[in-house]
Amino acid sequence: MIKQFIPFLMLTISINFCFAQNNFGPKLTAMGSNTAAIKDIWSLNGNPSGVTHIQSPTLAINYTKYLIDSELSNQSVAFVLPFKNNYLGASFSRYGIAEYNEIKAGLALVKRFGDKLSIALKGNYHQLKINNYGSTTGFSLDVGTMYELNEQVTLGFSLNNPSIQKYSSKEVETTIPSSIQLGGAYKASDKILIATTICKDLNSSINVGFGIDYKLLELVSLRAGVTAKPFKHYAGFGLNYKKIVLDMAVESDIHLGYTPQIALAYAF
Amino acid sequence: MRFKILLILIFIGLVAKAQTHEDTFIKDLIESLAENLPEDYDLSELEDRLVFLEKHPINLNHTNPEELKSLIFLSPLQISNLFSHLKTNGRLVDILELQSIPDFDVETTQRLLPFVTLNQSDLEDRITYRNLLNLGDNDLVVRFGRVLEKPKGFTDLQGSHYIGSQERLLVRYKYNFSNRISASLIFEKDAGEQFLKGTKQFLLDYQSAHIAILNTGRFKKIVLGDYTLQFGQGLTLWSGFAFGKAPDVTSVAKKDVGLKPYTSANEYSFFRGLATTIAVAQNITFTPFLSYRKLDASLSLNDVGEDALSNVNETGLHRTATEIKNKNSVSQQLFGGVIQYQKDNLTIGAIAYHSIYSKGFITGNEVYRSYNFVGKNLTNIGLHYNYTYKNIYFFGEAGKSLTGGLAYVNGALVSLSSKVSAVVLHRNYDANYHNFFNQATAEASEAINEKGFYAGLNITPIKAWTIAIYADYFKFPWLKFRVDAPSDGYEVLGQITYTPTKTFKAVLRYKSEIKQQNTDLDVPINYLDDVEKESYRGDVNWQLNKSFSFQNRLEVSQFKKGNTKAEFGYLIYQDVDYSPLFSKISGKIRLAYFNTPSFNSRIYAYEDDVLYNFTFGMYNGKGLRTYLNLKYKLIKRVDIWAKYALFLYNKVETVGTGLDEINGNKKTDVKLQLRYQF
Repeated sequence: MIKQFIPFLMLTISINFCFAQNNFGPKLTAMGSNTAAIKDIWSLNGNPSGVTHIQSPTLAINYTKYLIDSELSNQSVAFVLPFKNNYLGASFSRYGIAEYNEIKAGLALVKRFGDKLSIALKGNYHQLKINNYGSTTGFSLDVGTMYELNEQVTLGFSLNNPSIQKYSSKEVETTIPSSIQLGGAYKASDKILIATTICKDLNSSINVGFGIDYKLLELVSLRAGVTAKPFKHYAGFGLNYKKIVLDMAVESDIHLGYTPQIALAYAF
Repeated sequence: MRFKILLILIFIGLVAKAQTHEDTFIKDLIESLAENLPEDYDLSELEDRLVFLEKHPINLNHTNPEELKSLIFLSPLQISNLFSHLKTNGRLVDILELQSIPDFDVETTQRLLPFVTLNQSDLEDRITYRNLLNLGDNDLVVRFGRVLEKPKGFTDLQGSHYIGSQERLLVRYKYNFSNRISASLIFEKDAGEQFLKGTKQFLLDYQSAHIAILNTGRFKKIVLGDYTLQFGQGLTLWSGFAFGKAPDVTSVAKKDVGLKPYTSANEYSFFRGLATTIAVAQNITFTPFLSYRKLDASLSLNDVGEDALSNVNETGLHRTATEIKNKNSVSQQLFGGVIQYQKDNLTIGAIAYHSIYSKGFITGNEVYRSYNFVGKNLTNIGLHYNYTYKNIYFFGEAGKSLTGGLAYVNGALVSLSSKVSAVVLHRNYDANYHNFFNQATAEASEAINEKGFYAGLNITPIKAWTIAIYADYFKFPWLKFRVDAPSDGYEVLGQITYTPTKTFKAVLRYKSEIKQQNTDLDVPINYLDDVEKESYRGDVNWQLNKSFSFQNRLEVSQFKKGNTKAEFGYLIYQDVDYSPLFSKISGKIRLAYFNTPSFNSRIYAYEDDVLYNFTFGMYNGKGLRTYLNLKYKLIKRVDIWAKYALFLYNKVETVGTGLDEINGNKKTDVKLQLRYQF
């Protein structure tokens, strides 16, 4: 019974919300699923133009555990290869349990125009697989841009699946989410980054995310955030040592409980 | 000569400006609290403090945290920083030095200016007969008010009706001698209450008095008569007014001022008896107190046939035969003490007191009340602390009612940089935490049966802009009134303030709240429906010239319960303020139009009133609201205020409900106040 209930829950509750099954990595998640204008390697899954701070080839892995179920998890990998003003990004993530899983693989091309503007285009391949029922696939496109207004303020905008692509099989009601994000990040001082994202998913009401990153020490950052609809708290921290970055985040939802995630990134 | 005049003019301008800043600050705070306060709540203690401090500024080189906490706009972190600055750098030489203290921005310094001094004299003014007579300040206020129309309760009704007259009357006399002696005498009569020599009354329905001697040797304060006690985070012992969640996100960290004489007209929230604060050792103060007073309650019989009550009536209204019968029906004795240790950045306090009621409490039949206090005796204990470490102010309190439950609250105020400060607050109050003086920060009007987490940010990205945002998640583990199951909810607020010049201020605010409540549908077993409330506000304040300033506001409220359609209400108003510098007359006019489909989407807004009286209007229904508030300086020491306020409803036959129902579509209220200072 539970085995059937969990996929049902995932489909009915989470998928309607902005990118629920998308993995933004611990930094963006801890700041309130704040994808529009913060730069991080996991921007690849949100606003892909946020990877232009990366200077050498970087690889990151992520593991997210949904505590509502003993098996439900998300595993992701992201890779960015910078060359001059261009960046090539690749991401892969798997979400689900043994009987049900979604796979998303994407390839992004990001171009920096001068110091201030960057634009990205990303293609995604989706696969949905349910044991004993078979599988179906789909394709979607993301576009995103970030603009550095000045040293303090960065603005960002992204569209995910604007053409409303669907899974090829008519039998599944699961959709590939279409959403639009607009946001800004404000660097209040060398230690503080505050950011907000307004997100509209095709099938749900407008959500606002708000978060803060506080660099406690050179090596340690503390993060916290909220989103309004659905109402969730987020918290996390990041450790930054030489070429290695370790980030952790916890998402707290009234109905779904805690969702911790951990990610490790290495810059070659 | 000319230069001198110019200097004086600039100075007056500064003070006047600071005062208006102050007003809007208090106004903001009050509006955010309006929902949880009873109608006609006397908020005079807020303005009282500031009016007093304007006359008797605090000497910053010779003060204590308690004194500074009465300046409600200073955050605990700022206060703490000021003291560490004094400790490392010695006395302040110039007031502008304040700006070099962490967290003191230009705005705070400007707000502070009218209330502080650097006067080096540490001499206490001596109490002599001559000083008391010559140097004391006397302040007499007489306020009269009434509703011009005749509500149903005042007509010849057969059953329940108002026995007294329709007039309201307040007489308040206050005496102050420097920071050594204070005394007050207050008489008040509400509409419908009997005037002189009514049943169960001495002169008017309510009177209050106190005499206080301050700063005498080891005795920091001695108060005989009516007083209030405010300690820690308000969880164990706090009477009188307390701030909670407000657009100034730091206001969840309570600023306790300890023992204070009581000079307000609220008939519930005070103690009556004797209390003192003694410096028992260098860093330790002890505040023992004794109180005996009567409370109002409707009595019923308990299991063994004795008189018992289920709750205390806090309104202080004694208008009908029943209300008079319930008046003073229970007595409350209270004794206890608070011991506090304060050194450098650390304050620790312990509270213990015992209260005895002449009649026993019972829970009644409702299930949601089953954890309420029963019996006649209650002992409360509590521990509170605050500690500043670098840029973090930690605060908290734990309280326990013996034989009952536990409650605790902890928080931190962090100044992340000069532009960003953050607040977090965690609370956990048991449903059976019994305390009659509990005013801790909570979503519900009473800080029991609640768990919650609050986080807020204040951001000043550039000088003219301020952003405030908070989110609060709360959970009620036990049932509540009209909530037949455990429930939870959240509240979010975002506010942007733009102040490009001293004469222009614009505010945009969004607030959203979701809670749960029994469904309105007729079902065998109530289930809970989500209740969503949202409000959007835009507000502009601008000054045309030295005499005229304007305020405009538009507020939209939205209410949605369960699957029903959302209802929208709105309020729009225009205020005009006329206050020329040297004129004898000044005044304010409001013209407002409001339209709310029901009480659920009602909107609150601050209303200007006669001095010492803060009011907020509740705008509900459809119609016009207008008022005119005038101040006239009659002669040197005598000021007169007059207020005329009118609600004109659209297409209704009656206004108000129950005994307050008025035939027609109008409700007019007039107020006249005279102040004589000598």
